[in-house]
Amino acid sequence: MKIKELVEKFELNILTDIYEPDRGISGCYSGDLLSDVIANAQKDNIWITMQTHLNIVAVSGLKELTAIIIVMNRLPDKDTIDKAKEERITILGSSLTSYQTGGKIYESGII
Amino acid sequence: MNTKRLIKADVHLHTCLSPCADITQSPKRILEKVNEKAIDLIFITDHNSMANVRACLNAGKKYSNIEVCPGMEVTTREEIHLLSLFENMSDAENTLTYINYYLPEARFDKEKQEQIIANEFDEVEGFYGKSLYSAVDLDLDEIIELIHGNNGLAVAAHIDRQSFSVISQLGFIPEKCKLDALEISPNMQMEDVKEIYKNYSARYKFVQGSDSHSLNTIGSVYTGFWGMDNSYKSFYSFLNE
Repeated sequence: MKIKELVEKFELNILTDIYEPDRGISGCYSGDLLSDVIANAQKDNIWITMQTHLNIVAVSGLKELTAIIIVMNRLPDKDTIDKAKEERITILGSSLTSYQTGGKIYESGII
Repeated sequence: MNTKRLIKADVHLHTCLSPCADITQSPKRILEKVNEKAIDLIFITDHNSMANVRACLNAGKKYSNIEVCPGMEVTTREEIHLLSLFENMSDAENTLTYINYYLPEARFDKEKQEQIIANEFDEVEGFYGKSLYSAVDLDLDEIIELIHGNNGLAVAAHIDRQSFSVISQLGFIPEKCKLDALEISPNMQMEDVKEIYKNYSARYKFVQGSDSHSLNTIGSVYTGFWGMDNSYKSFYSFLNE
């Protein structure tokens, strides 16, 4: 599945922009401790989190993640959005919880 | 003549108010132990509250060799433990007003929670109502700004721990973060800090606190510095020199 299909299928909010709509997704990782995400997320993963701190942009860049999904309608600070736009990091939003978001993505075949 | 001497400070001490602390960690007994261990300057840092600070200040009055200062270990929105250290109650209470406002109302069975408010005579005055385990709904930068606005010091707690530390929660310390110092836990040796945290040692001073939740760990580690006296101002100058 590609990132643009995922956004359409799950009606995700686009908080920055979809910078690479045709980029593939290798899997998904869910976590709010950035040290854990740095250690365990894989390249081209989608990352589900409730963290909104500026550092999520750096972690996403470092790990070459496809996109960040921020759950429960939490909105990142302006600093985070600005930095993500500058670094071309895709940030999406979901109204669901981490569990529900992850469950739906898993069900769609991304494991 | 102005001569500096070695001052021993403990920046991180819990009382029986903290739900994770031992019931014997009362203001009176803490001060007895601090005196026995010849610590010169202490900060009382319970989680998200200062309800036992006055009792500790009162218990400290009989020890002219010990300076007791108010503080708090604040849990930020990112669930980072941040020590806030103050010179006096007025600055501390101005900060507390905001922290209290942004601390969620989650309440538990008061006595089961064991958040004990004590006086300086080793007596229980009551139990704190809100759960002090909660996180304050303000982010790291906002709380640092609040502390600085009230003349306090903001120190990232136990950065070597795998939970509730700025590094465990955020992966690394953000470049523009205005922390005054980084605290290491008693599990680490101060001499290893420069090697392990070489990326941060140019930007930040390091301190070590006992993070005592029970009496037997008081005095196990401390921050040693050369100061004119054991006042908050001396400690402040040490961090800002």
